[in-house]
Amino acid sequence: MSVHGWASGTARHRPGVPWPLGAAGVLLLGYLIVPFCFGVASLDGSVLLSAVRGAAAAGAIWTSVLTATISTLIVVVLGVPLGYVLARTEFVGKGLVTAFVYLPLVIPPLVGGVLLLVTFGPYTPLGGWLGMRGLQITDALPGIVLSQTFVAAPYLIVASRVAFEAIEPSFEQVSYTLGKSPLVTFFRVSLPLAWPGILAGVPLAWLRALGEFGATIMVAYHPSTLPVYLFVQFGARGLREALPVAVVLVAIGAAVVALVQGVGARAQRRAMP
Amino acid sequence: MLSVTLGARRGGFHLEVAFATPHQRVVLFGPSGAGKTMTLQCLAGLHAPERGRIAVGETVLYDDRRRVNLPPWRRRVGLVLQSYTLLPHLSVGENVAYGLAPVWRGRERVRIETLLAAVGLGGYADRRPAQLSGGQRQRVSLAQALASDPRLLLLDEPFSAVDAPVRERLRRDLLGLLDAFDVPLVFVTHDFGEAYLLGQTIVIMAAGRVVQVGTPAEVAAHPRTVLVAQLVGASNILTGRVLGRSGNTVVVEAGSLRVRALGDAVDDGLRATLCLRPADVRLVVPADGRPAATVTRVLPRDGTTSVLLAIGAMTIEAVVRGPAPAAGTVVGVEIPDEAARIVADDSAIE
Repeated sequence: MSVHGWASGTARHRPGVPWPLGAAGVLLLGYLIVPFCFGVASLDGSVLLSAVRGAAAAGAIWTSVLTATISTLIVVVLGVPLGYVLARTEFVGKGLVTAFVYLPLVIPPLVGGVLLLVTFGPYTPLGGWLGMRGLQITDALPGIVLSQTFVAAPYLIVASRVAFEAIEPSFEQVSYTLGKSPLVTFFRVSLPLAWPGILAGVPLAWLRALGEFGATIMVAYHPSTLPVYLFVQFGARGLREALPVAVVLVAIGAAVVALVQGVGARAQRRAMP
Repeated sequence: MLSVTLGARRGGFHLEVAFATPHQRVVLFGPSGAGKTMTLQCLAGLHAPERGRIAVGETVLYDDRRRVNLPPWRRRVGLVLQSYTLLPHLSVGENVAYGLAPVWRGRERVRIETLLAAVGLGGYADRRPAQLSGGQRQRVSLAQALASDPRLLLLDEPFSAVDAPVRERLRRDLLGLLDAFDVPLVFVTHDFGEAYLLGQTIVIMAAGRVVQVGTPAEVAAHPRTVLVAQLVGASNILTGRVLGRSGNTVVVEAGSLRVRALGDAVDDGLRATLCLRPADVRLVVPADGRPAATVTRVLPRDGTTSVLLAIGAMTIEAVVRGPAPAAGTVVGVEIPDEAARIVADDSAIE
C-alpha cells in the first residue's frame, strides 16, 4: 500500500473537535463579539463626527498617538537589550529580575500610577529635582510617557526574550569565530534573526500604551489622552457622548492589527519564495 | 602542529584530554557523549577550560599558567557545525563577505568569488541560503570559515545532516580544499570510515578521556582496548585462558576456540581479552579436531553476509563473501594466527 493511499485513508477518519470544546469556544467568542455589535448599533451618527472633532479639538488623539509612539520607541530601545540579556545569560537573581519584568502585567495600572507618583511626584526628591530643572513630569507629556512605558514594557521585553531564545546559539558562536565581537555579533546576527519576533511585540506595546488609562489618570490628568478624555466625557455628558470616543479607540486598534497582519503576511511570503 | 592539554567541566561532565600531533589533519573520533564537541568548543574558545594549554604551531590560544585565554573572536579558528549556520538574511556572497578577514579590504569581490569557486559554487554569490541544498550550504559555510584566514579549521560533524552520496563528495572535496588553503584541521566524527579518510592522526575519545591516539592504520590494526576495538570494527571480543606465549604472540583458549593472538599485554597472566574482526573469522567444513559452531542468524549486508555463530556459550560474528550457510547449520571455525589481538578490558568505563 502506498504512503499516499495510507494518508488519504486517514483523512476520512480525521478526528473532529469534540462538541463540548467547540461549544465552550463559541460561547466565549460570542461574548467577545456581541458588545461590539451593540456598540455599533447604539452609535448616533450625528454625534460621531462631532465627538471625533471634540477629541481632536481637545488634542486627545494627537496626545495619545504621540505619547504611545514615544513610549514604544523607549520600550524598544531599552527593552530589546534586556530581552537579549535575559535570553542569553544566567545570573544570580535572574528569577527576581524576571518577576519585575512581569510585575506591570499583574498589578492594577492604578497601583502603577501611585508608584510613579511617589517616585516622580512634584513633592518627591526626584520629581522636585527634575521640576527645578524645568522638567515637569506630572500633568505633562513626560508623565504620560512614563505611565505608558511602565505598562507597555513587559510586552516588548518578553517578545524579544522569546525571539532571542529561539535563535540557535550556533549562529552567534560561528560569528565569534569569524572575528566578530559580541557587540558586532548582536547587531549583525542576533538582532536581524530575532527581528520578526521583536516586531510582533511592537504593535502590542503600542496599543497597550495607547489604551493606558489607570496609571495615566493618576499621573497626568492633563493633557488628556484618548482614554482619559473618554472617561471625562462619560462623567460629564454620559454614555451617548463617550461612545463615539470609544469607537475612535477601537478603530485605531483595528487599523493597527490589520496593518500588522498585512505586513506580516507579506514578510512571510518574501521569506518563503 | 597542534598540542592540546585540557581539563574542563560542564555540569557533571568531566573532560580530561591530552594529545599532540605533528600532522595537519586531526580527527576526534568516538561515540556520542565522549566529549569531542566540548573539546572542539574549548579549541574555539567557546567553552572555558579549567586548566591546560592549547597551541597551534607557535601560537598559544590558551594557557592557564601564563594566563592566556584568547576570546573566540581573536583566535582565528574557522568553525563549521552540523547545523546550518549561514545567515538567512544575507546572500551567499554576503555570508562569505561577513567572514572575510580585514586584510582583504578593497579586494572583497575577487576574494569571495575565489572562495566560492574553491568550494565548487562559483556564480552562486547572489543566491539566498534558503535556495541551496544542505550540501551546498555546508560548502558555503566552509568558504565563510576560510574567508577569515583561519590558523585552524574546526569542523564538528559538518556532513552528518547531508545525504550519503553527497557526503562522500564533500569529504573528498574537503581534502582538496585543505591542500589548496594549507590550513590545519580538527574534525569531529563518530563515523570510523570518515575518521580514516580525513585523519592523519585519530584521537579516539570515550567518556571524556582520550583512549588511544594514532594514525588511522595504527588504530585500526592495533586497538589497545575493548572500546577502541569495537569502535574500529574489531567487534568480536573474547575472553579466555592464557595457555602460553612465544615472542609477541599469546595462545589463548576461549571456550573450544584456541587462538594465537598478537600482543603481550595480558590482564593478569592467566586470563586475556582479545578482539577479532568478523571478516577474519573463517567458516570451514566441520571436521574432527576443529571447533564447531552452530549458525544462529544470517544477516544479509551490501555485498557480504554477516553470520552469527554460537560456539558453546559464546556468540561471535563472521562476515563472509559469496554463499552463506543457513541458520541451524553446523560449521567449522578457523581463526588465522595473529588475526586476533590482545586488548585491555576497559569496557566498564562506559
